[in-house]
Amino acid sequence: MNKTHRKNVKRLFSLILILFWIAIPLMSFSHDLEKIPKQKITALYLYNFLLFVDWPEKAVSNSSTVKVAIYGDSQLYEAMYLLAGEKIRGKKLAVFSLTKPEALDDSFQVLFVGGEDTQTASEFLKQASGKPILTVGDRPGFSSLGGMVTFKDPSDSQHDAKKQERFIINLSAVHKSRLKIRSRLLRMSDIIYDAKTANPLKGQ
Amino acid sequence: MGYNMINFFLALLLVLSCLNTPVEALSQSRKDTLVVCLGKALPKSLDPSVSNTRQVLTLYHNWGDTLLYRDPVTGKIVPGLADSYRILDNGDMELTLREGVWFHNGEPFNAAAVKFSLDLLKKSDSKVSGYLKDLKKIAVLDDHTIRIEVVKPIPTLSELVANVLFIYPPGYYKKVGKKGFGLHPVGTGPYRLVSNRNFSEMSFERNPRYFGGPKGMARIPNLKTRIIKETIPQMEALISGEVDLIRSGSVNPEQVLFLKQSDRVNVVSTDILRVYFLVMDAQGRSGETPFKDKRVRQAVNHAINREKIVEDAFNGFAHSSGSAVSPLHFGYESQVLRYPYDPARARQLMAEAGYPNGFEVDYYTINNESAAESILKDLSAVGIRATPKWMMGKWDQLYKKFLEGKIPLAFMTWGSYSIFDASALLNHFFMADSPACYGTTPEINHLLAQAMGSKNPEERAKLLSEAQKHIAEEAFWVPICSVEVICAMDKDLQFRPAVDEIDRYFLASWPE
Repeated sequence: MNKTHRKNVKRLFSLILILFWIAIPLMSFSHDLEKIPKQKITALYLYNFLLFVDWPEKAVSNSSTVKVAIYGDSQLYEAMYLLAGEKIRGKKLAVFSLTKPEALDDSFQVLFVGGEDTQTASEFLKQASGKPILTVGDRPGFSSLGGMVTFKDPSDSQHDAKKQERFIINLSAVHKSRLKIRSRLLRMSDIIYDAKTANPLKGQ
Repeated sequence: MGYNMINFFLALLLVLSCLNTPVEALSQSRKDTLVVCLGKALPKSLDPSVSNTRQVLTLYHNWGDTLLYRDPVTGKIVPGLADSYRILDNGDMELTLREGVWFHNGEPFNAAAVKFSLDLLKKSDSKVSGYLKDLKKIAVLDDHTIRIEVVKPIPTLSELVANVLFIYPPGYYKKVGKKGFGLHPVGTGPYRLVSNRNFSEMSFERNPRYFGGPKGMARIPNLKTRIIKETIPQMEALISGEVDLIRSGSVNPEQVLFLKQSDRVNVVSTDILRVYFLVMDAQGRSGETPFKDKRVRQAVNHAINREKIVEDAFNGFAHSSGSAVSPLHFGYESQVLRYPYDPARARQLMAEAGYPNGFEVDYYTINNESAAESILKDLSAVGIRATPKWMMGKWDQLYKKFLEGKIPLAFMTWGSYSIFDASALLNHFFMADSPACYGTTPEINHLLAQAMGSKNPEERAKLLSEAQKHIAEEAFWVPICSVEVICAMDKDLQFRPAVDEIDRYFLASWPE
């Protein structure tokens, strides 16, 4: 074996060891490392909002579908779309990805506002204002913009089932839209009555 | 770079490899552990004579054993801690006990332990004393032979021995007392408790000295349990892989639709003995109640839309009932008087009873919030203004209050201690001397007493059937439904819920 060849063998051996070093923990905890996208968990909560939020009778009685609009989060749209067509409280679920606030009308029951663009988020909330639509978001300060449900920072509460409060409910906004949120959701939330007091910079 | 440097570098890489591996992963791979979410309620004691919640019963059968055991596949009762048994002509049961069986603390299992256990379970403060009242005593014939002497022949004796006669280690129990035992119980079972963090997180490990018997050794070496107080975070924990299994009976039927969409979760269900019902205080134990009037009880029966509850709140994982007991109970009678959903008839009956404007009543509830809310709405529609007393996750408190006769109206559930005989439910709720009885008649009492005294299965079935008919005619309860148990688990886990609603975690396994 000449010197160059020996060097190459050493390099290869080192490379294998480095790969081994990286791979061991991945192999040991492969299941746990397949972290579930946070959108799957958000979808679970949206599904439960459909179960445990009551809309005014007039807003839902004439329709055989329950409609969810999603803006700015394609992964959440995909996660929710898996449920599309299923019956929830006797109504078929329809899931829409919206790009413009104008597309949001009275026929929707839930609006999720994702993305970073505060301007568009405000426009969506303005469009939903006064309508019996549950508005949900996950950006800090969503309540201050008039949103009803704001998910807390995932790093703070996600994957820690011991922490009960998963989201913030802006109860005054909920009441204005004539929606009722059942106790099992309220139990899991921080409730605020006046969103103006909430500090968007602190994520409330 | 010299050879020494290279070797040093390679050695360093190896050390770093180990450091980079999570310690937990090195010591305990996923295949070594099963993480179970026990449900919402935090037990206050793991002693089944102190707490009769289903989670405590389930855990008992994982860390403890009984003399006889129900095979979950065949449903048959087979010897467990006993080697063999026979029922004598006078109704007593004689058992030969297994030799070479040890409690987790090293104490030997023997006849003295069985005698100590029955004496303990028959004490007035024991949650199961009512079930064991016809067991007179344990006669110790020798160290490994006993005779269970009965007051009178008991048709369900083998089921009682398999499900209610829990076995305690006398030495350990005397040393640590009731409270100490409840915190850190010791049994003979396939798992032994290692740590208990205020009941919210418990760790068990496989009992290395387990005798095997019909249960066999635990397939998964470690068992961890967790309590998660709300339904949605329970589902979240399952989907995210934080827990592997939600205890059977703890999965809310409304969540099944979502869970079925998850590629990580498997949902399985099976029919069980559990029934849901509305109890009215027909005896006025809680004070003067309108439910003493049969017409009011009939009105309530007409007011409740059972089919809608089954469809919406139980998501179809239930069957609406006319009888108080489950179709799986021996002696079940389907041909009982049924009260169709008819709010107009309900209002009419209320008016006839002198309540044209309805009345107010406290309404206690513990399980299935959606069903409880539905009942509330139905009652309100006929003028019954029920004030809900939500006691979610507080079964022990509700049950204590219930036995004390303080509850005018309750939406409850009963699993019959996994005894597949109608008497397991009917005697408990409709025999006059039971503290759980809120309504009965001398006829019903007589029929149930006769059924307990009969050795003839056909005659027993007839007597139990008659009792159910009387109960329906008197409208003491609003039977809502019998249910399926739902179990949700990691898709790789091999596990099945059992018809007796006792999860055998020791039978669960991960694929090789």
